[in-house]
Amino acid sequence: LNFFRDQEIAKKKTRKLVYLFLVSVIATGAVLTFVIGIVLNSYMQGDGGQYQSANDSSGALFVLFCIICGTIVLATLYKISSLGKGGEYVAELLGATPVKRENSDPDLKKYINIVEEMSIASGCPVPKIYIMENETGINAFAAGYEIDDCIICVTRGAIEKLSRDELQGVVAHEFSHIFNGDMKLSIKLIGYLFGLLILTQVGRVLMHASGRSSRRSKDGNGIVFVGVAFFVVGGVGYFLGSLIKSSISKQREYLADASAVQFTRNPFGIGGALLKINKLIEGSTIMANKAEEVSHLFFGAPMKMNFASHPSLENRLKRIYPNKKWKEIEQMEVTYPEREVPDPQKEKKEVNNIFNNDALKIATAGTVLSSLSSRKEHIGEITEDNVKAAKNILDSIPQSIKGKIQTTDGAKLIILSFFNGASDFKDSWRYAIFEVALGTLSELSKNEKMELIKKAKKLVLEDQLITPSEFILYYIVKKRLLNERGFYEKKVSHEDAESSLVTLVNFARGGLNNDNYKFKPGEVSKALEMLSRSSLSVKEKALNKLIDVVNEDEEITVLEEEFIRLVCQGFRVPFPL
Amino acid sequence: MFALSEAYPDLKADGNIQTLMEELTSTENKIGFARQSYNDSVMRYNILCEEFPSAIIAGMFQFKQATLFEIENQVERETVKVSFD
Repeated sequence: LNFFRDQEIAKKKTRKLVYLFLVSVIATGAVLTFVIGIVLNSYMQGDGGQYQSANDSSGALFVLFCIICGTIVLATLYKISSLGKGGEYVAELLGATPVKRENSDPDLKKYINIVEEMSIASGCPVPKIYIMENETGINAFAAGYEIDDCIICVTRGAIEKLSRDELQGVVAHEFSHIFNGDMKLSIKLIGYLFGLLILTQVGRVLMHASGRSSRRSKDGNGIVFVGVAFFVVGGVGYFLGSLIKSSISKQREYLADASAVQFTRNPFGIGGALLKINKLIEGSTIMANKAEEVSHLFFGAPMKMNFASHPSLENRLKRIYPNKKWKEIEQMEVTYPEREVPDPQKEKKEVNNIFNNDALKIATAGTVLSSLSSRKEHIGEITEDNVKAAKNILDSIPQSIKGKIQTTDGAKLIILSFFNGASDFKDSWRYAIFEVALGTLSELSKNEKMELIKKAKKLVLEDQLITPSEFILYYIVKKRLLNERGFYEKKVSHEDAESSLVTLVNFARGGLNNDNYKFKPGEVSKALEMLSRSSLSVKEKALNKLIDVVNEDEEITVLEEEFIRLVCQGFRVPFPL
Repeated sequence: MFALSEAYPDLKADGNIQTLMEELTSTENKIGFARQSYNDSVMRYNILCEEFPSAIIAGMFQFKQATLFEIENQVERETVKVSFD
């Protein structure tokens, strides 16, 4: 079987190269010691250092050798620990988004199935699955230090342009990297290279330092030579190391290609994928800025002019089809999967379906723990009316807005528009739009959420003045998106709860009818925090009290309603419509 | 199943049928890959048992050759039929 032999060859070659690499690292240290020894020796003899016996100098040389090797090892360990942060870190770096395992999107479902199949074929655990939505090139990568915390990621382009078999080939290739521990290997190699790079940096520092001191005295001469030795030997070592590393990386790619054929038993899968990369203009290009840093992880070279980490497509294809000439391979046909043009009518139906669900969700929100709610007549079960009312509100929202809040980008804009006052939605829509948009945004990664909150904060602070309404909105967004909860929540004493309630009541009395009301945001949010940690009966009393306060003037404004909603949110209690 | 969808082109375009076909393909693949992965491991193990230097250990502790997973039963070999009766 041809692919087993290919794997054997690639593995043997890597083993040799890794030995060569380690030898060259040690040799760099040895040569450096030797050169420095000569320099120092001649310097001391020139100084009349006849008291130096041969024994002494060899001991000193040994210590020097240990110091140099120690420096390399320390730098290596530092770099490895900073790189071994796991696959999720790399995925976030490149802007990839996680794919949910239960997915109704047929393309993604196919992708998930393929990953599961390959994990069976290779005998690895199923990794976390990611996708790069904005990349149109065909590419993929796997990352992670240990076999059980790996991630696998493909571009949207790969899913759309490759047939099922080809995508399977690509995923199998990535599984081979996981299976053979290539990420670990390449992180280690990068670490050692960094160790050698540090030597040149030490040399540079020494040259600079002695350059300054030599003006004052002649003692600096020796140090200059030592510095030059560090710089030159370290540089040569680094250069050789990089060469060896790039050929190791190439061998691993061949190995992964051969393993992909083993896992799928279908050379046309991975072969077709490579051919398509060769034929398409966009090829395997990756747009994300940070792609260059991790180019060794990818399936195809992410940059057009990057031959350091990947063998050329020609060589890879020749190995996959050993009986064919390059001319023949080049002329092989590739077919692209037919893509359905989305049917607007159908899409509309789907959107409506989603909205019916949302209506139900909003209506249900009122049922649980209903004894806390103010609208005592609405307490209890979800009534038909409740659902209908919610549905009516949602239906009355124009399609254009609905479409927007279903996408994360649109939802972000909508949420921010609440802050800069650009939103002029009808009062009855406000909450529904706000709620659905926040629901959409819960898919965002933590970093993206933080960024959005930061932007909102900036808008709030723009006019140097925090109005009660701004405060409430900001607080809801923060609470909903971050959903923080401590491991251990300290019980709140009765006095604390009491005083917190007073703060909130004062805020409700003063702030909700007067936009210029002066208050301390920190105090109010602390009070909310306090009460949210108290017992259910205290929460109930507090909520009833606040509702009474809001109701004092027999009329509930939008802001008042939002305030009560905020309090419910803080208490983790649903609020009826 | 596939013949059925060939005969009715409209079926092919339907989302549910597509999902079903995808699931069927994937399930069949998974079974096949599991068998393949097992057999590959058996082969590797057997080779290690015969090859130097691991053969010494294998001989010392009398490791036996493992057998491949094969299906003799003709019925089990056939692909699963799906009908919508």
